[in-house]
Amino acid sequence: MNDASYNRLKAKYVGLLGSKCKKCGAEFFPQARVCRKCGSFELQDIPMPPTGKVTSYTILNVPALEFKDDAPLVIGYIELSNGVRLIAQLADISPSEVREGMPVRMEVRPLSQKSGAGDPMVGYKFVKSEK
Amino acid sequence: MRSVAVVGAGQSKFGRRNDARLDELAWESVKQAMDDAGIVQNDIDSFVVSTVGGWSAELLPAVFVGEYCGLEPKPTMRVEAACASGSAAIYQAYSSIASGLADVVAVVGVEKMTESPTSVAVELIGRAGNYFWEFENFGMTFPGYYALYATAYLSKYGATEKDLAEIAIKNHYYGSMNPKAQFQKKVNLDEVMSSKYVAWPLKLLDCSPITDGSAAVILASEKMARKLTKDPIWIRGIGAASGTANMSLREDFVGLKAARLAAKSAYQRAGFDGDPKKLDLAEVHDCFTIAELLAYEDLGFSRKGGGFKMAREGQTYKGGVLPVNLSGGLKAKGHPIGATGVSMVGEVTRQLKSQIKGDRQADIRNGWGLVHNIGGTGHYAYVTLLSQDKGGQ
Repeated sequence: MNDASYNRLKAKYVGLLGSKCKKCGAEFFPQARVCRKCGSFELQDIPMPPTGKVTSYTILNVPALEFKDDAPLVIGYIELSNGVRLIAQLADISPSEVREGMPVRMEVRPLSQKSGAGDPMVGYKFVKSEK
Repeated sequence: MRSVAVVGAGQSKFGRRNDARLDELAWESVKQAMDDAGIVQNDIDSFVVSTVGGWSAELLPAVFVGEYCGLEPKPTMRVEAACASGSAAIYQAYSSIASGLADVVAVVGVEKMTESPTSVAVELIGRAGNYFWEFENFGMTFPGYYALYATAYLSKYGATEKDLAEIAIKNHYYGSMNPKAQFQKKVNLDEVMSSKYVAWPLKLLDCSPITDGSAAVILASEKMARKLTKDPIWIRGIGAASGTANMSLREDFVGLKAARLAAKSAYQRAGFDGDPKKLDLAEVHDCFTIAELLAYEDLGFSRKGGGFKMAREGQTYKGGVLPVNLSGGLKAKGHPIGATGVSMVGEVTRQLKSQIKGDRQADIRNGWGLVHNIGGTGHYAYVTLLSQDKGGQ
């Protein structure tokens, strides 16, 4: 990823910045300009809640090339506490531990081991939480 | 709208085709399809080329293929809808004939994938989602997307990895009889179950391969079809829909909404009620074994959550409720992504004309067949119903 595209995305990657419809209250991530629920164009930026649960997952033994050194990747399909869903890496977890329904919370981490050099690109990952 | 028929079909050998360039691969199919239809280039009003591309240096595959196949200066374009590109090209050709703009259109699907290193292929296909939100910084791959569906499906309905394996076993069984298939060999349960996990719970033998290949069909208006052949196969309904780029916006992970919408639209156009017993065969998009199970349900062949039982009971072999993927499917026949949809329509056409040699020829009783072709992970969906019967007056 080049610096310009990372800078455009950083607030979303680090702060989980999404959108909320001013008319019907529906929330979206990534940001939206049209409400998928009521069709309104009136949306405002809001951060998503940092907690949720795993609703599906996979263990990627063969991840994208940039992530070769990070394999196996544990990828979760996560439902945040406001009902918004996203796909993210799970960190600090062994593949055998992950379960559907497992509570998780967001942490900002280097996105891959490769991004560790210089100014690392960081973004959201999720770790196990108590509830 | 005017009626549209398939009047010719051709397909190259699928597999690792280091012997042929993209244009040479395309010609193999174009020549067969023209011969099958009894036409030459001058009889063709326009041609549509389906290629996803990115693998080769050719940025303009339609004119590259057109020149080599002697189709220049006919109007053309390249069509892309990921792994459903072939069906998208057929949709385009169908539309130009149905509207009266053209009488004879060639559809050419071609893809040359194996000369890219596997890691590059995995990367390119991995971008078939939402690049920024799922691929670039999170490492997701295409098998990973379908693995999320598999995890959710197995967990919700109590299906097992063995049920998925049954799909691979069936499709390899039929692929073993298809001389154009990439894998002409059977696999057994042990081999599937002991193959390496690529994206848990999907194993290597749950995945379709990386393939070079081409397929072509010739579509014609009723007037031209009647002149060219005594047994045209009519496109009775074609339905299409799209899904969200972001997987995270999907309603659930146990089916593909775009596929259900495409089926509904095709069924309405054809006046088909969805009863699988009224079809003689179906070619469905088994890029992964889980995708074939989802297809059974999205197409209404089984109730929601019942698809895996059809696989478990062998109901999609010949002699069952509905034979599915008698070509070997993407799994065994191979999956040159731009060619796949065209190859599926060619296969169903030849099946309905009882032109297939050996045991993988379906018993043709009703004269109806179905093609289900998905691009991405339900990002694009196309369903096409073909029949010996023109319908209407």
